[in-house]
Amino acid sequence: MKVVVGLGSCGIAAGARKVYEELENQVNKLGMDIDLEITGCVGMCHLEPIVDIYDDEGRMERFVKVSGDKIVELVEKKLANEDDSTYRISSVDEEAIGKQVRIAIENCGIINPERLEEYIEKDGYKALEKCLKEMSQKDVIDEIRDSGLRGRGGAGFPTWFKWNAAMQEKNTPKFMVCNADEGDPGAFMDRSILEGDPHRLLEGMAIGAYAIGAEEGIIYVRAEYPLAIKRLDIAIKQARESGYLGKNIMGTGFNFDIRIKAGAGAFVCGEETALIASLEGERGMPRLKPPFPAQKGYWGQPTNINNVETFANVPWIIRKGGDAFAAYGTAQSKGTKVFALTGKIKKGGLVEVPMGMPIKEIIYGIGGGILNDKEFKAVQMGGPSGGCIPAFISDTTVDYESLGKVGAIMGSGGMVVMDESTCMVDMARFFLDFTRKESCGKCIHCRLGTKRMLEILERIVSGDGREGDIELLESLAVEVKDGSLCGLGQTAPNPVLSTIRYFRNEYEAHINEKKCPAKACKSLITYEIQDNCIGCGMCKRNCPVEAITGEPKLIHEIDQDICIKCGKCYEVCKFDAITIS
Amino acid sequence: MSVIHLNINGKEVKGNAGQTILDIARDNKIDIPTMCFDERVEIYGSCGMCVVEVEGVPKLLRSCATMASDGMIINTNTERVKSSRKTALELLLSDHVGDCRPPCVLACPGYTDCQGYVGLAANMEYREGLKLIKEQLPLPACIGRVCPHPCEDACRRQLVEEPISIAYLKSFLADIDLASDDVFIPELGEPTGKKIAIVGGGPGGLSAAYFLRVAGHEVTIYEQMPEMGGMLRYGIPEYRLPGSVIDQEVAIVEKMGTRFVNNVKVGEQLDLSYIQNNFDACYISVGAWKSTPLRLEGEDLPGVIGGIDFLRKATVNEDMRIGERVAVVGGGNTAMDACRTAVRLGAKEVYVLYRRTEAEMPAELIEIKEAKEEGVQFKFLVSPLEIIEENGRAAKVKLQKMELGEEDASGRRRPVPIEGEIEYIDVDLVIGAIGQQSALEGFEILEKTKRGTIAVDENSYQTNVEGIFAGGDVINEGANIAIKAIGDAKRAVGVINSYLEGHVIPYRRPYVVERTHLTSEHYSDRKKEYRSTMPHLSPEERKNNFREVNKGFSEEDAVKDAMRCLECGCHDVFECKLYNYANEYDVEPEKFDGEVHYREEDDSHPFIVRNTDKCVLCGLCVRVCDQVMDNGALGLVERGFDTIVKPALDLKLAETGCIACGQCVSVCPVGAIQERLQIDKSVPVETEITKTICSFCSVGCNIDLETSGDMLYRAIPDKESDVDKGLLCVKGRFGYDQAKQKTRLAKPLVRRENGELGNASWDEGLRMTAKTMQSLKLQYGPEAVAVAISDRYTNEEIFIAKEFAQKFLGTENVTSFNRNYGGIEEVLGYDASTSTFNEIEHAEFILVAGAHMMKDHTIAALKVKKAVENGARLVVVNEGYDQINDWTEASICPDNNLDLLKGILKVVLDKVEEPRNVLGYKELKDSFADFKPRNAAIDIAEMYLESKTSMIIFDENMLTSEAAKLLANIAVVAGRVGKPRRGIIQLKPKNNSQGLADLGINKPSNEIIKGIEEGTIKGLLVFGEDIPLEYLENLEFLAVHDLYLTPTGERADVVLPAVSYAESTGSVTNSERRIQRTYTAIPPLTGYSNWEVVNEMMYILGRTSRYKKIEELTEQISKSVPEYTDLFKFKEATYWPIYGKEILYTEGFAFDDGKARLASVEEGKMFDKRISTDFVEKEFAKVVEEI
Repeated sequence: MKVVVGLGSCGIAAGARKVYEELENQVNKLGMDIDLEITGCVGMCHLEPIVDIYDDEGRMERFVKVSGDKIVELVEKKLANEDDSTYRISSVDEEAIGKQVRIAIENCGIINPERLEEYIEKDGYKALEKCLKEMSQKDVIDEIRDSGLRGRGGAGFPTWFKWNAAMQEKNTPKFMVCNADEGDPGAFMDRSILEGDPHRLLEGMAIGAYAIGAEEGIIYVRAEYPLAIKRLDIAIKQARESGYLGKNIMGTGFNFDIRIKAGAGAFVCGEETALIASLEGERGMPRLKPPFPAQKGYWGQPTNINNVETFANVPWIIRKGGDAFAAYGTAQSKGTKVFALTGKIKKGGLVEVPMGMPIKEIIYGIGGGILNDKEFKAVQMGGPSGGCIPAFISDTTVDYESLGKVGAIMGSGGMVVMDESTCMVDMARFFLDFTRKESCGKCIHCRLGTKRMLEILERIVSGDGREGDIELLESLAVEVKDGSLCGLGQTAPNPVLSTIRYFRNEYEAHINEKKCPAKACKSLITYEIQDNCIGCGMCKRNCPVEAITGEPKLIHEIDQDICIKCGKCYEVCKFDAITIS
Repeated sequence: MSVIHLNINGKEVKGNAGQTILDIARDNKIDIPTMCFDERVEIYGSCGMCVVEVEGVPKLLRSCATMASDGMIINTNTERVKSSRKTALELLLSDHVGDCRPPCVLACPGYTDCQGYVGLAANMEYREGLKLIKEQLPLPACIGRVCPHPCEDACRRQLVEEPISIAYLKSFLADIDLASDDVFIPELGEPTGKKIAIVGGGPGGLSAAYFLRVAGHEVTIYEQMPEMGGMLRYGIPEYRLPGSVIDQEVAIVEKMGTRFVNNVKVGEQLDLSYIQNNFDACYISVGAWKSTPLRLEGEDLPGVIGGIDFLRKATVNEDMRIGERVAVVGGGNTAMDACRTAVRLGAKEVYVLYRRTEAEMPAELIEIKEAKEEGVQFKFLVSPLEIIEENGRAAKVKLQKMELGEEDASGRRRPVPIEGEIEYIDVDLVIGAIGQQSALEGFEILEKTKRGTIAVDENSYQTNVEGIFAGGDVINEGANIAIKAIGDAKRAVGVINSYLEGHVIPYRRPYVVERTHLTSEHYSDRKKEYRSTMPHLSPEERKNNFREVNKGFSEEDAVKDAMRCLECGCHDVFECKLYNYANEYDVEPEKFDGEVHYREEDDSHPFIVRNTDKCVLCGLCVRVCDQVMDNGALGLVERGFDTIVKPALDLKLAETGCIACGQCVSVCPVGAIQERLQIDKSVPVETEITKTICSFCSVGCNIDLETSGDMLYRAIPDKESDVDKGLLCVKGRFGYDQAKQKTRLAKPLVRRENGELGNASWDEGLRMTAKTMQSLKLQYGPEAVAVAISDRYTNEEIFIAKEFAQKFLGTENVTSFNRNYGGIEEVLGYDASTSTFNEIEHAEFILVAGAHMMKDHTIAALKVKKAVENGARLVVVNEGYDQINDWTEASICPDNNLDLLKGILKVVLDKVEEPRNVLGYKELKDSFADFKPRNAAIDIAEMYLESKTSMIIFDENMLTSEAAKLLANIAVVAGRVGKPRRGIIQLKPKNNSQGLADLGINKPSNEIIKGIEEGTIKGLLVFGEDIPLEYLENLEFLAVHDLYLTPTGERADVVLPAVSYAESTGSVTNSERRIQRTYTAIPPLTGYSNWEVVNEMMYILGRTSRYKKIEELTEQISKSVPEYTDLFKFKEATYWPIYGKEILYTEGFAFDDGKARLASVEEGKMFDKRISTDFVEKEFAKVVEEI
């Protein structure tokens, strides 16, 4: 019997480490007869810790939200062939996986990322072998072109085109760089691949390197991903030892090696020229394009940069053919896309679906709908560079073109779901606060424009909005987009513009009536205790600032001068006696 | 390069493929604004100012970074483009802290540059100060005396103690000018043929006339009174503003060609229609000559008079009855003038009746104080109710007592009557001084305001009648102070000029950034220095006469007071791109008000002042420091809104690797990095620019020397310069100010009987020098005298000194102690570089053998750096470290002998066949038969030979002449001479070391030294050299010509003051044989140019005539130095041999047979660093050393 514990960052955060250690103890001490393995994130982060138990025939049974205290008991029961359904995954959750099409993350949560053999078992490095032994550089690029693969990092630029440009450059050496500086708040697709299937990335990079003629690869990974770095490190060593990296790979004469560069955690370093600057030890600041990295990149040499998910698709495409990939998706957006579902959603986590699936389907069909069954309000697509899509157009499909039309972007695949209690002005403020902090400071429009936009939003949410602020935001947003050099500044105003586009009335309510329709902006709301208060004292006990007074069994009262509007009383009241107005 | 065709703003233009849109636009004189762009560094593209729209491209493109392509249709000025630029500017300004203009200037209704002229006064540049005032204000002597100076009310020095005495300083400067023989009169414009009539000869009318004359128009002033001056003359009493002062300033306006027509009241004697029919435009500035009525019963009685009428009558000595008791109603300056005049006219009791208290009085404090001193009695909180008649005249005033109530709209507490409290005073004369009004009979065609003034557009000064403009007291809000009328006049003239050209351009007040957050806290480190007191007559001395009360500042007091200025206004205002663009794009940054950075900065660098509050983060300073100078002294830190430029590692700038080259200062587009001016009082002024040559090393960098009067303001690089491409080193940038007037020698010094040096006249100094040298020659023979001259002197100066020595002292003993004799000349024929600097950048291999290039010849070193960036291999052989070592393939620090160079020569001899054009090859080769080169020598020789284009660079004053000869041998044998990008660059110590050699100052200095030591040389005349010789006392006579009293000068018998390069016109020759012109930026401060000193001495020794001008000397040089033939015909820089090739020895070496003289060398040293004889250079080196 084999027991596989999901040890991605999400699993570890949910307590999977304890699950694993308990079992490990049992194996060591009592000689329990099981193979204990680890794996990465299968995508159902809300169900972690997840344990898959395989019987000797290889049939798998999945257990979720497994507690560390109970794991030994569970496994013992399984060994004794006793049935226990306490932790078994529900059929609904299983179905949710079934609705996905897994290409980039096909191995995630399945194989042990620290064991090359398991990757090999899943046809690992076959694609590389095929390229090196059967395909010319041009063949590889043609295959990628046929697949329609576009960059999964955000901009959606055709991958073959970049490869082809880098291949055409005469100047050597060339560099193959992987952008693993996943910085969008709420996005963790790349991390899951790095943690769950690192060889997949290495293989993808090696194929790309072969195609463009690079001998050196660099993975620029955020330093905040220690587990990813550790597993990548292990994978690189294994690949070298087994001859998948290094000199004369598979005896074909192709040389390629990869090193890891831990980034310093600046969001803008996800921009490829800033990433190159950072790689060179300079301040992470975007440079002018042209010259494009394909012409003059790292140390002035031809350089190709793709993101993790893009590379992860490559071996699959080579193995199964570009046409197979292109069979999924829409006319312009081929294949699948991994999304990170977060926010007010029941089943947050990673999903990989064919392009062209309606947002509604992802949220309800896979994500299980809105948390606490509240009203679905909007979804923020593409992180701080993206835009919000309101519920009334949630039949918009996820492909580059459709999302663009409604003012959002695919981005790296972050989907933050919002319900009725989210203030859209405040949401725009949140994302702008992020981007303005992450602005590198180079362009005037971005450095100062995002700051001034933020200040306007701050005064709106705090009830000091002025007439004309919306128009000022709109005009400044357009100028910031127009005047900024890199994607950060060009897209930073998107959350503001899209929320104004769809929720202008909320802005107007803040400014004109000094009201927050979502009842979320502290400065604009008051908590009041109504007559149905039974005087239980819960609110009084939980108030952190002692703003609530009242004798037991009598109606309590909130002193508005002291109240900090934390909402604790509202949360704890069991009688709905506290209202927000 | 292929030509491409594009269309910019509808105009078809051509460019080359590979050029950016910006390049092509600029080549075609199409202006695109930039902030972060500078040719000297790589493209950055941060500011977004240069954006343009290109047809078919949805995005705005940064023209600095976008390569133009054939067929592009570009628009540089669409609404979208302008809006983007404007937003960028507004965003920048929303976090920009500073004062574009100081508060004093902003407060002045005439926008006079108070900080400018106060600063110029502090620097004792009085005439420049006066000229600056007169750009806005033509009557400073008058206005300085009477202005209630809003400038001083705004002066921030009050946050320390008291404001600067701005008004007094104004009249101080004006009085100096009026007392001079050469009273300033501005240059008049070309006659335009337009005729302008001015109605009213007061400050407004006179000012309008002044500026209209400057514009070249014909001007006539019609004035109702017998004299010009208006209220200045008839409304202000003599004791404050003497008529003689008015006369003098009025006379200037007349002298400028203004026609004065007095005793004509337009509207009465002359109809306005006459002016309309006979003039192209009219400016009305008739003032407000009617006293505002008191509106009391009894007002029409005899013995009641308006304040203005009273003052006018007093001035023109019109008969009126004063009596013994005079009551003046009102609390303003007119009331003060009236009461004090009444005192002077003999009134025994003079009352001022004012309805509020002293604190609310609008009159100036000093006026109130002086009135009290003169016995005027102030009755506060009284309001006249009635003037009571007795005997047909005013005899009593009935007064209502008042108390202060609520504040009114002006913030002053409103006086309210106290019920029933009444008082009576006895009077003989009541003067109502509560305000003034205009009398506008005859001006009926002009639209009026409710106040009864002429209604004009406040920005264009246009009345409702075309061609008629008006300003001053007679318009809109009515009576105000004189400087407001003057300001109106200046602005209106601008509008009138545009009107006369066919399109009215209204005045627009410039947009400025102001600091409003300052409190006395900010100045708590300032020492309290109260203002200078104005000397004045005592009350007893003044109260019975009309003598001017104030005596005026002494020079000492004036300068002291001016030095107190806090220098609020930004020094960059005249060149700040942000300021200029902000005004061009009509910004409204207020809409982006929000958080602002206030950052304190270290201010300790001796030459560079940083102010990050003004930084626009264009990154130019950081980039120029890194990319051009290979120095990381500055860097960008923090992110987003908080991004800031800081010195490396949070150190003070001077503690980083900063070499004070000032490149950051030159590229900064705003006032965030500026030079620390080396004048006494730092002051922002517009300067005159003289293009000249740096006086330090022999690279010959071009500098733009900025001056104001005879004050050297600063030296800035010249971007057009082919020598330095707009880059200077610390010496060129900050070492310019050797002409510091105060410490320099001004007069000759002569050793007196007591053994001390004492002041002497020029005549005495010159005669003593010439005659003593002559008598020594006659006594001991011509070999007993010698002349030495510094290589910082111009070719002309060297020429005349040599002529003096040879022809008038008959001696061949003409030397320079700063020169190294021998060297490459012996091999090649000339003591000169064979190649030019620009070739360095494209050589494949460079051997620097003995030159601390970054330290001593920085700008030449940058060419080596460029070469390395272009792929050249570099080897440096040096004693000690220089930054140039960092760029090398190998830097070698050999023992101080010739083995390394010999080794290289040996390898070259072995590998290369005998060249055709040499002598002595065999002997040389034989002498090296047994020499064993070391590995380093072999490597260098191989690199040298492998590269087709290889160059050798060395510093003449760092190597022995033996070493130099070896280098010449190497180059000749290897065939690396006489072809482009091959050859030897021989760096020399001073700006004209090459010229000195060319002019044949080649008596080896050691022979002179030997002569002095042995006593055969008795007399020595030294031009500009500080020679640390121990046995100078052996001389019978030593004369020194220098800027300062140098150690050598202190031992001399006569010291003659020299002038600096900034005071010298002539030519100098740099290390690549480029002859460049220097020009006098300021007149010789000692009265004698350097050449004139020699000229005089030649005349003393019998030359029949003097050289008349420097050009004659240039012509003489052209005739006597073959390589300099026709030099005088060239105004631009030129290489020698003139008419020859820029590279030497293309046809053969400088010997008759064209063959090089290969010379074998003995054992010896390689390095021999010589100490400069230039005192200034040595002194400046000490300053630089401290950074």
